[in-house]
Amino acid sequence: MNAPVTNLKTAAEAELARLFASQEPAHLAALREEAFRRFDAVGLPHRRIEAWHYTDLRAMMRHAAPLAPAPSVDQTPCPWSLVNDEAEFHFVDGRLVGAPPLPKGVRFTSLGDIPEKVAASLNKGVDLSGDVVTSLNTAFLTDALLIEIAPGAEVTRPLTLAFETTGATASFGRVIVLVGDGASVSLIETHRGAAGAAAQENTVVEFSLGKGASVEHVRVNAADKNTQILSTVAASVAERASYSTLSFTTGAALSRHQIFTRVHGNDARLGVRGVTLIRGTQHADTTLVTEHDALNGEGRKLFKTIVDDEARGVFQGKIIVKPHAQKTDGKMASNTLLLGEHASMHAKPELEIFADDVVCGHGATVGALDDELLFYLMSRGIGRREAEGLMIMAFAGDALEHVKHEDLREALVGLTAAWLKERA
Amino acid sequence: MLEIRNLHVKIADEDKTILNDLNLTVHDGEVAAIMGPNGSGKSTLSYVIAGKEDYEILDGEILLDGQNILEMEADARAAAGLFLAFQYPLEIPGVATMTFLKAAMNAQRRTRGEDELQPAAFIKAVNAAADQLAISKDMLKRALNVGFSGGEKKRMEILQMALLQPKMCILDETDSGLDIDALKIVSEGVNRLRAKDRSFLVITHYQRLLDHIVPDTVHVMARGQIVKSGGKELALELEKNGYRDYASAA
Repeated sequence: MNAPVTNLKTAAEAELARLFASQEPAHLAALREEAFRRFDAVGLPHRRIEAWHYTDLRAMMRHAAPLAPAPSVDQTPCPWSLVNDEAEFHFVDGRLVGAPPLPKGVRFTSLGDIPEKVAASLNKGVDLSGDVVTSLNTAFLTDALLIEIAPGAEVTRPLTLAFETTGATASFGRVIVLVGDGASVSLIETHRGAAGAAAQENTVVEFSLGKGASVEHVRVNAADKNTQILSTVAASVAERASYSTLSFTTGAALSRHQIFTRVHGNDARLGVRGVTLIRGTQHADTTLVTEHDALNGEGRKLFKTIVDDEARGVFQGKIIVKPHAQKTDGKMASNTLLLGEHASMHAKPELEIFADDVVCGHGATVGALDDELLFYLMSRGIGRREAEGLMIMAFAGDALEHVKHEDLREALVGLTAAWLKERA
Repeated sequence: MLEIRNLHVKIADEDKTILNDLNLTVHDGEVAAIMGPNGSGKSTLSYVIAGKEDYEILDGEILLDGQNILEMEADARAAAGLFLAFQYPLEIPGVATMTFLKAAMNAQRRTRGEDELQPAAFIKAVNAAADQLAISKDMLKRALNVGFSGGEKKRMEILQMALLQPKMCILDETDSGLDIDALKIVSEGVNRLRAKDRSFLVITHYQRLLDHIVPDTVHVMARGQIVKSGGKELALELEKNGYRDYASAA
């Protein structure tokens, strides 16, 4: 007997369909239509989908927030500056509201300027068509920014993408960064929002590195505690290129940060790191898929998660080494400190290796602060909270020390110290 | 200075009594040595005085200048003037030695209601103390005790003692793992700190250390008690006859 299968939509899914239908005709209608169809076919991912087992989005995203209206000039907050002398692109509710005077060798195009050009750059470096978060981003794309770094350009001033949300609305930001052969650039991405507002943010940043290019990317999620953030970083890495990304997370009630990297040229280097500090009932998911598809690739992945109170951390990391990607040297570590008795962590490292001459390893640790070390510090007169703070700072420092830009590294240490101070 | 009365202590999670009716008094300016065989409870005593949490106090009290310190956390005891030089100083990766020293000095100053040190005064104080203990600038730049030799770690303990200026110093087997030269440097460091308002409790297996740090009193510890007390000649006697006479005395 064939029973008719009814695809029951959750309230959030039904609302997303309504919001999608209500959008004004805009650029890239066909692209968006197709992306929404891809989303609609599967709906919000849930715990029976392996990649979402620990972050049941269907259950956690109870409703879909209304789409953010175009920001008015007088409600535009000042962009958040982490370091001096950065060139700041300022986004409010997913829309670009301010662009800086650009350093030599850098140019940008926004979706409104040349939609075809921007559209042609989407989803190019890494295939994101199977990712439901990216599909939603494309379906609701309100603005997109294409940044191009000319071949050979050494951009010394960091470029910043400062994302702000202003209310309990949904915003979808998209940035594509094309880095020419031999060019180098540091890119800072920050996320902040209005206090107390349950914003929903979905941001995708795609990097494509040319031969010998070098990118240092640091992403800071300092969103309000009521926010839900879905974010995706994708990087395709060519021959001799070097890509490093570090995600620093203290914000959001629910965050899922996805990192997809693909090494398609020989002798490339990859550094993927993260520091997550969460408390209360925060849920922070970091999911990484890195694919080595060329010779002599080097990959270093290090994730430090500090979980206090009843918060919950998730780390999923998968290294894929294709059959011909010989001499790949990949290491992945997820280290977690549980500070609260009811804090929890789910770590799932995976290796999928099809080449036979590689050095790959992974390790995951979950533990509490070492009582012996704590006693040693306290026996010198250092109070318990301060002693714990020194140890937590050292723990996070293992990942932060890899940030090459000195002011930026200091800024992240400062944000860690601020988090610790709130704990004391 | 330090007065321990009828102290009974067991390991928190076990039914094993380590200190059993221990009594000990150390006067202002006195250097007291505690000697005893392995397993007599010497290290436990030092940890219990310093405030380690792995023990349960069944009875008794520990008074520092008349104040019972047993209810105080380890940091408060340190601020009150207590210092334990560890037998095995711990390596703390990622915590820079200077950061640690500054945190310790300022934390104690804050607890005592004093202003924090100015950076220049702090660096000057550290450099002066480090010179006297043959501690190089390179050691000060590294993470605390990480990659230090046994002798370097012990010198770092004495450096901390010199900077924190405690009134009651406990040295737990400070001579273990030291060669003759390091033993001299460490002993000289301790002797420089001897003062009429500062007392020492020197815990050791061997008489050797007491040639360098000459004690005023010597106590023999066995089975969790002080079983005999005397002058410095008692150490020589122990060196000659061993601990056999005391093993069954308790």
